Amino acid sequence: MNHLVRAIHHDGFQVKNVYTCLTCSFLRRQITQSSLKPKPLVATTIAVDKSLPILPNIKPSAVESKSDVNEKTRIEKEWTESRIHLKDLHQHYLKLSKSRLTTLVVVTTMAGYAMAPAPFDLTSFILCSVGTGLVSGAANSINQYHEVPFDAQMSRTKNRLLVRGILSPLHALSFAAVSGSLGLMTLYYGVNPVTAALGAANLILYTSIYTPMKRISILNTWVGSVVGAIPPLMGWAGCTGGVIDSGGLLLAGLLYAWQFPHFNALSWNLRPDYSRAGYRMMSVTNPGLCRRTALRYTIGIFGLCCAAPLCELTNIYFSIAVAPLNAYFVYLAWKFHQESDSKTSRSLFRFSLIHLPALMLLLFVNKHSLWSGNSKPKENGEIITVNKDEKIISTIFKTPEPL
Amino acid sequence: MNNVDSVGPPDPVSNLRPVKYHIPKHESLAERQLRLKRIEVAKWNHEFWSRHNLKFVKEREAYKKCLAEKGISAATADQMSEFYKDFLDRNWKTHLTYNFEWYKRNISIVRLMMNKNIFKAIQWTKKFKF
Repeated sequence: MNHLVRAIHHDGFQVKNVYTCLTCSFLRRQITQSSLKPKPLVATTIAVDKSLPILPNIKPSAVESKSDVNEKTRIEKEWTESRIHLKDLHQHYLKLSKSRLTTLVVVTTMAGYAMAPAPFDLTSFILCSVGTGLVSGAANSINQYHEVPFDAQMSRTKNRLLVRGILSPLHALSFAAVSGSLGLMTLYYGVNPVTAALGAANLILYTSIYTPMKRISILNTWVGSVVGAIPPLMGWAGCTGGVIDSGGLLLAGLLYAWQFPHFNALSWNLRPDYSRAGYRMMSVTNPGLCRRTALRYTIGIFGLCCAAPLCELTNIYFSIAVAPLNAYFVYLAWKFHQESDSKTSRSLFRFSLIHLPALMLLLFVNKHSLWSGNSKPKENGEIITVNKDEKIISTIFKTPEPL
Repeated sequence: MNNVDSVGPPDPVSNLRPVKYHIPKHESLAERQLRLKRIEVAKWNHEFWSRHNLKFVKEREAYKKCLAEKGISAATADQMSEFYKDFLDRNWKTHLTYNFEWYKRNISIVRLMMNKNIFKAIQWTKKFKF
C-alpha cells in the first residue's frame, strides 16, 4: 500500500493507470485522478475494485489509513465462510502457534544453549531450537482452543483464528498434537531426555495449569513466569547433556524475573477488559502488589546480573556493561510504582521488549569462557586434569604398558 | 454460502461471533449431532456473556452514579479500579463454574467432530469395492 501511495506522489500527472502491487497483488486498484495539482498532497479520486467502497477526494496520505479502516470494517461486518484455502494454511498455523511469542521462546532457548559451558554443537543446537519451537507452537494452539469465548471478550485477542471461526477446534488440536509430538520427539531423540522432559512439563504447565488458573487465582502470574523461565533451561540442558548448574538456574531466574515488569505493565492498561472477562490478574485484584512486584523484580534482575560472574556464567565486565540497562529498567519500574498510569506502564512495557534482547546479547558477548578460551593457563590446567584422569584410569584398569 | 459454515460479525453485547451451520443434503446422524451440539453450546455461551456483560455495564454505571452523588464527577482510574476488583471478586464463583463447564462442552464438541470424521472416513473407504 505504501508504494502505491508513493506512486501517486511521483507520477501525479498520469490520468489513468493500473498499479499492481507486488506485496498485495490481490488488491488491484484502478487509480483515476480527477483534479491535478503539482503539489505533493494531491486530491485524488480513487475508484477501487467493486469489492471496495469508493473514496472520493482524499489526500494521498490519508488513502492508506482510510482504505485500511474501510477494509477492516468490511471484514468485521460481513459474514465470512469458514473455508480454508490451502495457500493460507501456513499463515494460519503461524498465527495458531503465536509466531512472535514462539520466536521469543526459541530465542531464549538459543540463549540458554549458547551460554552453557559445554562445547557448541550445531546439529543439537538446531534440533533443540526447532523442537522447542514446535512444542511452544503446540502449547499456544492448545491454549487458544481452550480460550475461545474468553479471547472474544478482549480487544487484544478478539481477532484470533479460532475466535473468528476460521479453523475448527479439532483442526487446532490436531495441529497441536502433530507439532507437539514432533517437537518432543525431536528433543528426546535429537537432543536428550532431560530437555524433552522439561518441554513436556512446560507444555502441561502452560496448557492445563496456567490457562485455567487465570480465572482462579492471582498466583497465575507467578506460574506464567515459571513457564517463561523453563525455555532457557531447556537450551542449557540441551547443551550440557542434561546437567543444570548454578549458571543455568541464574539464566532461568533472569527470565523469571523479567516476566513481572513486562506483564504487569502490559496488564495495567487492560484492567477493565480483565475485570469483565473474569481474569484474576494482579493489576485488577491487587494493584498495589502489581506495582511493587514490577519494581522488586527489576531490582532482582539487577542483582542477578551482578551475581552472574560468580556463577561463572559471564565475565566481570558483563555486570558493568549491563548496569546502565538495568538501572534504566529499575528507574522506569520505579516511575510506574510511584505513579501508575497508561504512560508509565507503556514505557515500562516497551522498554522490557528492548531490555531482553539487549540482555541476551550482552550475556553472550561476555560469556565466561568465550574470550578466555585462548588463554594458556586454563588450557594447561585442563590438560593436567585430563592427564590425571588418564593416570587414574590406567591405574584402575592396569593396562599393560607397551614395551 | 454453498457447503461450509459461515461466521458473522461479533455480537455487540456478548462479543461472540454467530455461526450459521451448513446443513448438508443427506445429513448423517454424526453430522446432525455435531451441528446441534455446536448450536446448543453457542447459544449457552451467548447467553452467559450477554448476561454477564450487561451486568458489568449496568453495575459500572451504578458505581459512577454513586460516585457522582458523592460529588465526584469524573472518576479517576484508581477509583474505577476499585470497582473492577470488586466486580471480579463478586463473580469469582460464576467464572469458575463457567470455565470448567465450557471446557467440558468444548471437549464434547471435539469428540463429536472426531466421530463425524471417522464416520466420513468409513463412508469414503466404502466407495472402493475391494
